[in-house]
Amino acid sequence: MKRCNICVIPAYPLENVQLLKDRIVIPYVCYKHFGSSMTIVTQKNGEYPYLDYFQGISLVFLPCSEKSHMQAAEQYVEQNYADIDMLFLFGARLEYIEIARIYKSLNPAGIIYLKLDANAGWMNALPLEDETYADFLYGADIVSCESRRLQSFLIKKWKRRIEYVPNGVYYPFYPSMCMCRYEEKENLILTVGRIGSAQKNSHVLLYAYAMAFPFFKENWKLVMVGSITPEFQELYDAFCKEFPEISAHIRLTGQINDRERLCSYYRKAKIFALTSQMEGGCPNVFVEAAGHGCTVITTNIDAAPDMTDNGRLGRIVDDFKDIPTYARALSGLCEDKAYLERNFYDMRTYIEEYFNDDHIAERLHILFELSGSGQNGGRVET
Amino acid sequence: MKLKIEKEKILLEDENGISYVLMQKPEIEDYHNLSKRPLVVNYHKEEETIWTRFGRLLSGLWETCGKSGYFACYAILFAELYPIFTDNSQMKNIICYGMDEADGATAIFHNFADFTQEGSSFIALPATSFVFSAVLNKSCQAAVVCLDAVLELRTVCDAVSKIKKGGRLFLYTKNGEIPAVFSALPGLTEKRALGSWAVWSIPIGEEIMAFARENDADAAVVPQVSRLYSAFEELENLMEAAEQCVQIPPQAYLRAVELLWEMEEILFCLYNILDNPELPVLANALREAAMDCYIGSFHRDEIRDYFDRMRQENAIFAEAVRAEFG
Repeated sequence: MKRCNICVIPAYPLENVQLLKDRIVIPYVCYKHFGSSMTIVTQKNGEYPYLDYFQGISLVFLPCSEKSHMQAAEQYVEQNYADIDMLFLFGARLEYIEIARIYKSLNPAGIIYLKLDANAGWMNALPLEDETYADFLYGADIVSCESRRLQSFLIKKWKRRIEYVPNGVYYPFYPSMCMCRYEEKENLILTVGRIGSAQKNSHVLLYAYAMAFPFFKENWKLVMVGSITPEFQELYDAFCKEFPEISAHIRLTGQINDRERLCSYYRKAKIFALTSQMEGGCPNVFVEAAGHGCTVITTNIDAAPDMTDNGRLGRIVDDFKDIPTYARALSGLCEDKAYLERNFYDMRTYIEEYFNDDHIAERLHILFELSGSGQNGGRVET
Repeated sequence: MKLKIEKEKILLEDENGISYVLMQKPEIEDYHNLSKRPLVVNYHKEEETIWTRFGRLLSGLWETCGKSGYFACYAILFAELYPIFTDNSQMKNIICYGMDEADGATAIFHNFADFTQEGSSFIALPATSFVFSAVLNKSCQAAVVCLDAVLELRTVCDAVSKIKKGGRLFLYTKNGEIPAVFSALPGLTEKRALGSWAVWSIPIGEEIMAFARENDADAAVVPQVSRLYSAFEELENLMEAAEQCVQIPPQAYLRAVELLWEMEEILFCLYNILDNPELPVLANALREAAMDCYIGSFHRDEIRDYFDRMRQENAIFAEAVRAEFG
């Protein structure tokens, strides 16, 4: 199988924190498996200390004056198309229409991999009737989304191949995962995210915990990690006044940038809780938690069946507004010690088998080869 | 008869001021709006939504044929056709028989069809029963027949043969009741009426298809189906070999991946005429499982989980292919 030169072009100037997200990690793992080079092309947007995690990749800074980020990137592709075997684009963005057209017209044999970073609402509202936009979507050789539910929807809506590529875990970036033991775990319920944002729906967890609290047979703590909105802080302060006995068992840590410290929470937690209204595929925090053997309880976001292997490895609460049902599911989990222990092992095996970025990159290698065999992405000729 | 278009619903009002709810604005459902166009909101661009276009066309219908003897029938039909045009991403052909083109309703229905899915059509057939022989069997999502323009049961049966399983037959009349000659048709239970204007909606299932007794066959599809079946046979052999001996060479899994890749492409070519639009999804799931087995056989001592999943996906896919292509 051939090796390839991978070029990653973000739709907007790259930020340091994005380096450790799937938009960079997936092409990086592909590069490790079947790449001969990897280049990230972006206008400079601050410093990039997380680059230390990566070996062998190049960062090309586009000029910031006169041209916009995408205009400069288009010029880069015009000049360097011959050195790009796989152009990695992230998000079904209108900004990519022109760069995809330029690349394909100059290098028809080159492969465009579009990772959608999709949620149903966004995908449902894309203007497919716009021909230039449709050409971009159908012209991409490999298109992937992050949940099976959405994949099924898009295959039927777009009538082309859509691959399922979840946000996975790259084990070399998480040394603590391999060392994690169930004996280290405590009766701790953990959530990680922008606490209080409308999307994360954090108040549901707070009140579900309060409703479940009287039913706990052992002491269970709740830890909420992440930046806190002023609205949630206000709500939490009122909660503390109303339920001082319960709030004594809750901890809001604020944002944690130190990955080791964050992983120490994953290592200790038995349960990872998500209450989101919606997510673009599998949240990154899910694989981090599940890789540490946490049992997941989640609202029915697109990726919920994938995250729990259709409910086998966790609990799904259908209605993200239904606090009592969430509370019942939570207290049921806390009570089921045997399940939590067994699930520690089962969940880690499941993540290792299906969310392992090394495995995902191998799949993409096969797709890269098949796409390069002259067959298109499966577009219906109408 | 008056038409009232409100924010969340559309009403018909008769001369006595009695209102009849023609249609309720549909909820946004992420997984059910498979039309290319946004159902209610548009993320990127300010453009007309399906609901807006529907309301505008319904007003146009009122202006064009409000005085026609069939306006209430057309309005009910339009409301009944709405979910069909917006239900999934397959291109739709809806044929109608006996509708007076001079009324202007067919042009309005066609406008909506093409708007919701470019290439979809609402086709007014000339009112001669022979015309059905020019239309492929099971090629339409629905057929609309004016009972006041049809004399024979055979004509309605010809129309039924053109509809896909799971589609709909709509019959309408301004004379209130179903003429006796058609009363033997199965499925005449769903009726919407306003005064003497009546519309029957009949789901196309085994019973009415058997009743209609039509032949099928799409000559143009045969070569594709033949390619598909030959790939399917090879795949079945590989799966059988894998079933009997888990330690098959990794290249066999890769061959399965290649076959499924090819089959997906054929299925997309046939997509608009498939009875089961899930088939490409099932092929993809099996291909992914075969890829896992291939990769696993290089990197793992044990691929039992991957293999079990492939076996499950294969059973589902094989059953669906047999059901579709027999």
